[in-house]
Amino acid sequence: MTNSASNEAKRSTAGNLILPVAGLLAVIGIVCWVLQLILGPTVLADSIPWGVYIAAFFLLAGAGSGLVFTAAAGEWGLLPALKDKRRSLLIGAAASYIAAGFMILLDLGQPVQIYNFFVSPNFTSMFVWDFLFLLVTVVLVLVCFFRKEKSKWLLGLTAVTALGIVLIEGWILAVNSAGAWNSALIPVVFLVEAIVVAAAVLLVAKGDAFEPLKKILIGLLPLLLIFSLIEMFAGNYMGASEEAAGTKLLLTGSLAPFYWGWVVLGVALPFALLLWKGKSAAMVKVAGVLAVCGVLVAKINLLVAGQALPFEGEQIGYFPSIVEIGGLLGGLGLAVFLFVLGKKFFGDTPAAAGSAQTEAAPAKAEAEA
Amino acid sequence: MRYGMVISLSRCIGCNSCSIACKHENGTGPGVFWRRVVITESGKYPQAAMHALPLLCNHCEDPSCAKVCPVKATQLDDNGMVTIDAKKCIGCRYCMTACPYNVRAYVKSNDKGYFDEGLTEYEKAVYGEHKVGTVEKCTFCAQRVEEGRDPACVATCPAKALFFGDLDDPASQVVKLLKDNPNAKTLKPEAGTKPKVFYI
Ligand code: SF4
Ligand code: SF4
Ligand code: SF4
Repeated sequence: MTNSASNEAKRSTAGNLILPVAGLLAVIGIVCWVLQLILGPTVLADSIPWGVYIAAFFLLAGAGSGLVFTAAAGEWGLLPALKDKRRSLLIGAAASYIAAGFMILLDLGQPVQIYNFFVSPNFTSMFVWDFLFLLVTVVLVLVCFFRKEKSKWLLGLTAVTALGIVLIEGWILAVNSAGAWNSALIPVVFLVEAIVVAAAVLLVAKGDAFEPLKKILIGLLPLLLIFSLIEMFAGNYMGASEEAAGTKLLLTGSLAPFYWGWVVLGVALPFALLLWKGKSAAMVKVAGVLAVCGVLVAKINLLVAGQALPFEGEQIGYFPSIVEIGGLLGGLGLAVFLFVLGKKFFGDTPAAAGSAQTEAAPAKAEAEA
Repeated sequence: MRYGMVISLSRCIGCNSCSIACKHENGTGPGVFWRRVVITESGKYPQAAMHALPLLCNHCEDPSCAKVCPVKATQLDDNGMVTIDAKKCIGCRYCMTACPYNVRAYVKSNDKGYFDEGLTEYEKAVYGEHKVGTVEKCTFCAQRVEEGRDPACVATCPAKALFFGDLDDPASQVVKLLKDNPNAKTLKPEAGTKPKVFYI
């Protein structure tokens, strides 16, 4: 067997394993959810009401939006390398949004009462707007995907509502009075993180193939670190005691292993790997995985730092429970599972094949890839 | 009608009788506190001092918890009390992150009691009223106030440090106390929630 044939065989074995492994993780997540429904919520202290589930929700919703941005950028000629990846990107976006919805279901204490979102919505709540934007964006993604005629305007509109999701989720924290959250920079950080996650996921999927995405990651990873330093400096310079306490928590307190872990493994290492001249496709994939994990940890850090200093209470540490970790893996597994399944069933559907030439050809090329 | 509370910090002895009375009246389970007393220390020996700060829901006039609640489960009622409807609450805990005072509690179970031997008859009778997966907080003892009685914490305080009444009624004791104590403070006024629990 030649080298390239053996590499091909290895790749296809790994590819065949993805669906069952991701499916297994999704099942673990669903089991954790059922366990929660039977045994009661497993979140820890009252002072840290939002933990890993909300962080994963933000990550997956951001990933969905990031993938919509890249699809639109390909369509509008900003990232020509992605023009023929439109269908895959939209499947990835829909899978991420659905998995984000699963994370919210996991997080809710009374998911059966969720119908109140429809019968008694409170429009002063950012959650309601987030829910509406998510709903509209998922519908638009599906319309863009199944519509016979490709429309770059429709995809552009979808990118705008996807942007709305990211900004609203940033505002959920930014308009809160908790010290570490109360910053206008958070929606911008969420936007950059969404693009980082989408670029990283694509690099994981395609290795060395997308040169512009590597450049995007190389440019944006340090920016996330700079944002974090700006936040710390601004809060401490103004002498805001809550910000100072939050900074201490991150730099030397109970969150320090997570903060420094993010700096080294989530920013510096993927940055160095991507810059390395003699890098292999595997190293690019490792950099992508590290960047995605880094964004998840950064979101947990941000969430916990804003809650770990409760009013007139003891400083609280945070580590997710076993059930929460199972739920997190389930959400991530579900996203991958739905994506691979979506590619299998809709990568080159008869509808697509019979559609306008412009759509059928890239779909076929993608299916072959 | 705008119910409110005045707490005299110079009278409070930090005994936590109010916290226990609240649990007894409202039947909250382990880990759920609608009211607590935070004890802090200041200074150094021999000039050290202890301070007691009773904390409960401030029934704010501009409650951030109600603003963020996506399903209108938390609302400000006509009596100026901030209420939670457990039939609507989806347990998202957005309100807990939005309350600047950390006075809301998440009900994680209603079948675990305080004693190893299982639930007592009292616990069996009261815990069922607390819906798992929803958020709770001080109700200003609405069930007692409706009957013209003081909230349980106010009625129990051995130091007579707690006062409850209508802030719109010039003849009420709370209004008189606030008039006599122009330096009365609310917690974290910068949060903009306009609390109706005052400290003198
Ligand atoms: S103290 Fe907190 S829970 Fe109570 S009304 Fe004010 S914001 Fe809401
Ligand atoms: S936990 Fe319940 S009361 Fe609090 S914001 Fe969510 S739905 Fe409203
Ligand atoms: S008013 Fe009633 S519910 Fe509120 S803290 Fe006092 S005893 Fe508890």
